[in-house]
Amino acid sequence: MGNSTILKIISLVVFPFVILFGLIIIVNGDLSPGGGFQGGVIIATGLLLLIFVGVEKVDEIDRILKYEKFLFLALLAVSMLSVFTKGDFFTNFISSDYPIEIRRLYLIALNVIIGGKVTLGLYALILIYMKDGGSYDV
Amino acid sequence: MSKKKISKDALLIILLLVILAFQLYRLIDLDIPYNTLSSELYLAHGVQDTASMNFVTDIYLDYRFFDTIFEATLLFMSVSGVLYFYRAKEGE
Repeated sequence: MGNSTILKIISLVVFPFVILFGLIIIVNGDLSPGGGFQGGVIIATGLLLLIFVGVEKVDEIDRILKYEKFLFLALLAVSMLSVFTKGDFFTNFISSDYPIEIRRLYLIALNVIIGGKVTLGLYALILIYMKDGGSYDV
Repeated sequence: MSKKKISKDALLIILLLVILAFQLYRLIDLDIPYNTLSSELYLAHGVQDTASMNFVTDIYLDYRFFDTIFEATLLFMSVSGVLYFYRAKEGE
């Protein structure tokens, strides 16, 4: 599975389109179906494509999980900002006087943080399973 | 020992059938509006309270964000649990 030149070249051609598609689904999460969870899985699939054909190798899984922990804390921090402006937990911290285009930034930020978290989590999970199996040389 | 296990399984099956009966009772007449308070509230005030045109995003990122936090925690815990068991097995 790791020594086919045709697979390596075609996956390098397809890879940027998959990442772009996932980013569009994450960022437009509040206008169309999609959002953080769905887009995160798509980007993780794109990243794993390169691992399967043998183009990329990963040495340290701990660093990936460290970034995931930071993203989780960032999710909690951004949602708790509304305690200072509105006096209420887990809601939009921009007040209702502003138009919709500015209040949308909160939803886009949350979707991006959730998307990154799901991507890193799924990527690390499949890598652990591949290392544990022993047949793939990751 | 096996008699206890058979009676426990039978009790569980009977309880599940009772729950199924309660759920199917609602399907007798679907035209009766039942418990629509929260859905009418979300559809009426959704776009103005939050800033999204998508009602699903509205619910899971603003009205019910507490459940989304637990969803993210669940994904995080599953990955760390798998890593823990991999490290424990590697150390043997």
